[in-house]
Amino acid sequence: MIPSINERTTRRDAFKIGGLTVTLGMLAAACGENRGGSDELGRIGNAEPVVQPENFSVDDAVLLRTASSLEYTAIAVYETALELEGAIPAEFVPIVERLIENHQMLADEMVELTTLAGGEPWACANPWFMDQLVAPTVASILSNVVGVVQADTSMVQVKGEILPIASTVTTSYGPIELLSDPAGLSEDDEIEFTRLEGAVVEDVLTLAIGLENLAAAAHQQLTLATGLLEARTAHVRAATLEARHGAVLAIRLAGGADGYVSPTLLGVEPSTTNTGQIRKYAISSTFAQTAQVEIKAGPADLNNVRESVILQTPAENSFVYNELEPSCDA
Amino acid sequence: MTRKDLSPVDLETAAPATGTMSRRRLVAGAGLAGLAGALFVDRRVFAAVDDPAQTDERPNVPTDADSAVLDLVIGFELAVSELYRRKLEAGTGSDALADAVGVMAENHQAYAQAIAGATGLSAGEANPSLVAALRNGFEGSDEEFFAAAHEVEQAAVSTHTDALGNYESNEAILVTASILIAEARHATVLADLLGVDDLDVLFGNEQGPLSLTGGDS
Repeated sequence: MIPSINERTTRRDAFKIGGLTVTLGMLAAACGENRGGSDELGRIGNAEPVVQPENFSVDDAVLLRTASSLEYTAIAVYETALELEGAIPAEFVPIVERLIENHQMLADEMVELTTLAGGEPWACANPWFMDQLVAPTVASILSNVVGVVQADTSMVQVKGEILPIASTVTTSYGPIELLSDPAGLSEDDEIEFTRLEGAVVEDVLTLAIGLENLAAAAHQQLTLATGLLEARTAHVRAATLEARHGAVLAIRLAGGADGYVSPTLLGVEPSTTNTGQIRKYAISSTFAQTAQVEIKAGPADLNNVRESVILQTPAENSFVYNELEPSCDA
Repeated sequence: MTRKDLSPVDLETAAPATGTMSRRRLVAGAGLAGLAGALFVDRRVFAAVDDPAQTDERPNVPTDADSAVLDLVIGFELAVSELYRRKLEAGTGSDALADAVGVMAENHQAYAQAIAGATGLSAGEANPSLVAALRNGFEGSDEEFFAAAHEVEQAAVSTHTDALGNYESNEAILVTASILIAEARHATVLADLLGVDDLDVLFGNEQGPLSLTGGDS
């Protein structure tokens, strides 16, 4: 294995020798006796020191601050969606406005209960959800379809198909409009198209359903987690209302009866929509679930694969700890 | 803080609302009056113990007081399941409706079984008084069925919510929350089948909790 001193050392040999040296060094260190100093895991290299995260406590006030932050997050999403032209169809506007009212009512209740629990109320959106979930999801929904120009520069790969470049390109899923300048294109250039008709609306409303279901699931968990009796009933009432929100949106988005019951409850594999979006239903399970919620957001890529967004109920990374100062800049 | 005094006795369900759905409410009104008497438990069983919610020592398994209420809830859920099955036997106007009714029937049976599993009680018998009180609405026309079923689901949500505030064990809280939230979704579907557009109805619940404090079983 070890090359002769007269032989040339190849790159592969160098890797082997390096790896062997590190491994033997670690073994020697681990087997050594009378070691002193820190018991922490040994480190090799010049990386920055590991910063241990703060170990903040989670009490009823933290749970209620997190709850109010979710309500404000929903309000922020709906208000943003209403400002986006065409994102919310006219027939959904009264519903969305009512949802904002309802979430404000729930937020106020959670704020009041936070005070009762001895905490400082949190009247802002959840910074973690806004940064990690809402902002990238909305950005993705609003992005355009991207195609790549082929060696034959009159052709483009888009949504899993090779199609002629034109002002309107007809895919298997429907027409999309060319947004980029078609002049002077070269191989591998990226060109943009509009999304399929109705795709943005479908994504926005599916996100809304996902957020309502997420909020309902979060309150369902908090019903058990809280030690404050007033909060227990408040959480379950909030969960019930938000489940109704999600159900109404699912029925309206599906256009009626198709949105009532998930096919999985009937032993049938559910299908996606024409745009590849995951269908949502008013009744999607026998018992109310607290599992993660999956939606699709944004256009399909070159291979017609759409990005999944996973919505999960609050946990250690998204709790609004008592040590956090309210900031409504998110 | 949890009240330790006796809760006020209320044998009445929510007063029928005027305006929206008032005619429909009449369909199930008589049935729900019977329902109020059919669910009976003395809430003093809850008041007899110190409030466990304020401590970290809340038991996992249902206490005797929890089980006393959940035993009645099992009979209620089985009764609702049976009522939905009667609708299926009576016939529905469409396959889509049959699917929805079938799922709701199965769900309510699953709720009874889940509670039985949590408590160790039997999930054997539907509450016969409930079935008798509500069968007319469920066996009537589709519209009568929608109204009756909507009222029952709404009453179930209120009743579970009321009981949840008194449960002493984690398991009772956990299973009840997962049931009542799903029942709210049932109610929303039934409201849509009724053709309700009023957001106050779709998002609200005018049904009060069914009395758990008095009446004849």
